[in-house]
Amino acid sequence: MVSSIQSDSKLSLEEFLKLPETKPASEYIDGHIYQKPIPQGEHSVIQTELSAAINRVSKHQKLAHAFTELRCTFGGGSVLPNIAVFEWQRIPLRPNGRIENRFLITPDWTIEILSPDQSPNRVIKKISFCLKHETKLGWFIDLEDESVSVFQSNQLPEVKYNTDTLPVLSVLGDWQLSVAELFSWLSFA
Amino acid sequence: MLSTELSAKISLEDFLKSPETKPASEYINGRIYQKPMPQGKHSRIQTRLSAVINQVGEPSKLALALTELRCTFGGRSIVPDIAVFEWSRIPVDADGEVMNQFKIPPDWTIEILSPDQSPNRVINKIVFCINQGAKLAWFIDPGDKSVMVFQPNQLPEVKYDTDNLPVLGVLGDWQLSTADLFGWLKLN
Repeated sequence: MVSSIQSDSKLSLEEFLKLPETKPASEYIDGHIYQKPIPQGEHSVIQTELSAAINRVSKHQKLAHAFTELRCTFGGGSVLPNIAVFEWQRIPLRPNGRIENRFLITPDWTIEILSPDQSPNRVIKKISFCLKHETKLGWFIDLEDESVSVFQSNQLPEVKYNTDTLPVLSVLGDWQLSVAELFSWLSFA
Repeated sequence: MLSTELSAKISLEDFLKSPETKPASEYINGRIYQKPMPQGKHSRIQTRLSAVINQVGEPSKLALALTELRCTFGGRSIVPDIAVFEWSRIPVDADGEVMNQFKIPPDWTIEILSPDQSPNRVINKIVFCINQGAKLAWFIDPGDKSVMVFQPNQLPEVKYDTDNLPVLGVLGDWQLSTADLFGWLKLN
C-alpha cells in the first residue's frame, strides 16, 4: 500500500539532485528517495482550487504566494509539497526581479493532500521535517474523512472538521476558510 | 473510510445504553463510528505487542496492556486497539478485581491503521487522549512499517527501522525498535 517507492541505495543529496527528474517527482528525505503518487481527481481539484484561493487573497497585496509541486531543498532534504506557500519577502529573486528557479529555503506553510493508498506516516514525516526547519504551518488534508490535521511547531496536531476555521499564515490577515468550504470545492453537481 | 459514521447525534448516556456492536463502536463529538474489523497484520501486531508489554509490565506490577477496552472520559467513549495503564491507575473493585467500567484515559494509547481507514480520524482519537491526560500514543502504519509517536506539547515523530520507540516511563529501560515490532509480521 506504500505508493511512494523507496529506493534502496543511499545517495548523497548532491548526487540525488544531479539525477534526472522523474514523473511524478521524487523526493529525498533522510538519505532515501521516494517517488510521489500521481494525483487523482479529488486531489487535483483541492490542490488547484486551494492554491488559487490562497493567491487570490495574497498576491495582489504581495503578502504571500502559493506554488504547487515546487522543489524545495533545505535541511539536507529535497521535497515537493503539494502546495508550498511563501511569504512574499522570502520569495527568492534574481537581480532583475524575476523569481529564482531553485528554492533553497523552507516554505512558510506546507500543504499535503493524502492520496488513496499513500502512507499517512510518510506524508506526516515530510510535514514534520518542514516544521523542524522553520515552516510555521502544515496542513494534512484527508479527503475521505473530510478533515484537515493542522500542524504547528512544538504542538500536537489538531484535526479540524465541518465548520471549524482553518488556521492560515498570519500575513494573510483576517482571511478565513472553513473545512466545509474547502471540501465543497469537490462538488461539481 | 472504515470507521463508519452510523447515525445522527445522540447523547453519551443513550450511546452507552445501546447494545455493543462487533467490531466496537465509538462515541466522538456526539456521533457514533464503528471501528474496522482487524485484518491479519493488524491482529498480529495488536496481539503480540500487548503480550510483550505485559511481559515487561505485569510481573513487577508496573503497567497493564488491555486490548479493545472501552474507555469513557471527557464526554467521549473510545476503544483503543491497545490501552496501557500504569498499575496504580487501574480501577479495582472491593475484591481487588479489575473493574468492568474504565472512566479514565489510558496512560498510553496504541492505534494500528487498518487498510482504507482514515488517518485523521485515528489521529483525532489519539490527540483527544493526550489532551485528556495520556502521556504517550503510538500510531502504527503497517503499510509504511513506521510508528508515529505522540507526546504532550510536541510535534509527532515518525520512527523507522532501528529507531527506538519511546515507552511509558514506568517500564524502565525496556527498549523496542521499530524493526523489532514489524519483525513480528514475518513468520518464516
